[in-house]
Amino acid sequence: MKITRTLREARRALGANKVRTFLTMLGIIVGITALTLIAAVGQGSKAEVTGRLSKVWGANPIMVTASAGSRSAGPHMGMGVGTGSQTLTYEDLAAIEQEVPNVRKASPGLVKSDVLAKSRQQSATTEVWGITPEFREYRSWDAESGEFLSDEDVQSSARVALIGSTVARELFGETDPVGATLRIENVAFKVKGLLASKGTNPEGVDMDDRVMIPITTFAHRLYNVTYLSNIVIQLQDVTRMPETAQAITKLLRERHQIVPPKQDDFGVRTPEGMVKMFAGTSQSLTLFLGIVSAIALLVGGLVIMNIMLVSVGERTREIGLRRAVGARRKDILAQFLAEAVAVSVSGGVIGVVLGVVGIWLLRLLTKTPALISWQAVALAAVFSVLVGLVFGMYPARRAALLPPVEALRTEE
Amino acid sequence: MMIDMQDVTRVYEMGGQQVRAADGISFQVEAGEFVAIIGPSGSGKSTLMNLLACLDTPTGGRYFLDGAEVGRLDDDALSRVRNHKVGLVFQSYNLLPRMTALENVELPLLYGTSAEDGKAARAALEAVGLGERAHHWPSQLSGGQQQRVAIARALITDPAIILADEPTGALDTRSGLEVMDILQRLNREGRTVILVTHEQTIAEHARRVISLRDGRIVVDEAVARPREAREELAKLVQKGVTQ
Repeated sequence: MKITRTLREARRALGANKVRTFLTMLGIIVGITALTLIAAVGQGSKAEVTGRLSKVWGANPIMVTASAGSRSAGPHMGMGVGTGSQTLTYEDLAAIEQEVPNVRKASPGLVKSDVLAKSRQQSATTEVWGITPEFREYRSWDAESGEFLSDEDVQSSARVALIGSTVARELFGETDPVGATLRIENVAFKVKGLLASKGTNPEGVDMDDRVMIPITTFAHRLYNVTYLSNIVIQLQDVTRMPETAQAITKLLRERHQIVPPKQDDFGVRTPEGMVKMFAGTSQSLTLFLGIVSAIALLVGGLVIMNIMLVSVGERTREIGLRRAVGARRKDILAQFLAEAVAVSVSGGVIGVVLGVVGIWLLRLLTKTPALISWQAVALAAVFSVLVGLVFGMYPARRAALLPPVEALRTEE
Repeated sequence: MMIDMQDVTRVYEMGGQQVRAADGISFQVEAGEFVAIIGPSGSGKSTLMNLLACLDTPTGGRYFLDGAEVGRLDDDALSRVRNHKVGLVFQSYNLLPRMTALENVELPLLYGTSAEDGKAARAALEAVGLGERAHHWPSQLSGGQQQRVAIARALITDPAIILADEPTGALDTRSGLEVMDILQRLNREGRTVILVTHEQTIAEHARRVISLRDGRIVVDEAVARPREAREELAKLVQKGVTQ
């Protein structure tokens, strides 16, 4: 039997008893609505977390930090110069870039905290970072006014600096800092740009209390160091971050000759820990909706099965007649399965629509992050077809296996 | 040979007892015959009808329909035979209530392999005099009209035999005669017709009558002068006019 004709018949059979058909759909409607909401909330919180993280971390980098001692220089920035291990080197950086697969780019960084910076009028204790121009990309952090550091600045160890808004306020008050001069360790720097404000990070550190200078200037003119505080690694494929982080750890252990029980003299940080921290907030909501949708889909499926069994009973004679004029068992099976799937898919469509309305309300009323995605719609479609097939199978088989003679003999 | 039954039996288990609903039935029907099968209730008429229609298969003996042995066919093949070779007409019409007359007639085409289309269904309805009612629902038609739709449905796949099971049983005399007239006309056009009934007068429209009792054939004889439904109808109309 042709599929279009099968579907047309299913539509007609369902249309004949609209109230019953609607009631049959209810469970599916609730289940799919909840499912759509879950997917949207899940997507939304993931997007929000990624958004917040990229503000703090840039676009998904892994960071290798030098570590040792008890005091951390900057949050996640590795041990500051003069306080931590001095074993992380440019050679490590080159090895990571060349030997670890999936690494797109590795950039060096130096950090020193509790540094006194002075303008003509004021002084302030702040943190100094030695960076390269890629910083702007992997941190998505640009200068708000003035210019960012250039490759030339790094090559020539230029005495230029980018300053955060907190430092700018402390040193220069309300006047425009760009072009002004500040001194660090008695070296004069020209302020090349004012960094865009990032506020406080999730660990409570003021990210605008920073001065950034070319890494070469940091290493040669200011402190005379040959090691690194950190290496920021950008990936080709972010989804393979865990394997890559492991490969880097392994490589560095080999290079630094670390065997248990010796402790690592470096750390490999991925944003995943932070992702988990953020995601935890919406997990309880997701779990609740997940249980609701699972129960509703189960009940919805059972309702479909029940009603389909009633329908098979009522239409025994019709089944007998169809068999008598040449319908094979599989034709009858297809007919009743099509009806069950049509019910559950119609319920699914209504559920998706209600889910979208729900997402809109949720965003409006509770500011819960929620995103409508094609994945959510695809998930709903798959589930509604599945429920129809699974729970429609038993009634459809019963219909198909009725002996034609007995089916025809049934009183209407 | 259209139909060849050789010592066919059909035994049912009922409450631990064996019921021999068909008990060694043998007969042949040539193409183009008009045979009535008659007998009181419990004589095995329905069982024989179900066997002839390939809705059921014999438990013993052999049944050849148009050369194929029915007992050896699987369910799919039986479905195909029912679709292609047998046109069934029931006492209670068995039209599907949610389909128009035309859609009811088309129903067997859904399950067939032939490329017949809506035109054939319309032609079949016109052949039974219901061309104008194609889009009526069964509930909008009289009993006689519904039975004519059912006959059109039986004809749509151009089957070798028409099997009619008490086709006049639910109808008044006039509608019944109209149905018999159509069956006789189909037979004159060369179609093999088998009619199952318990009424002697209806059976006499056939050219051969097989009588059943207790699952066996007791009489198998030609009808000397079959009744002509067309003439009976004409008389009935005359009577109605003169009254």
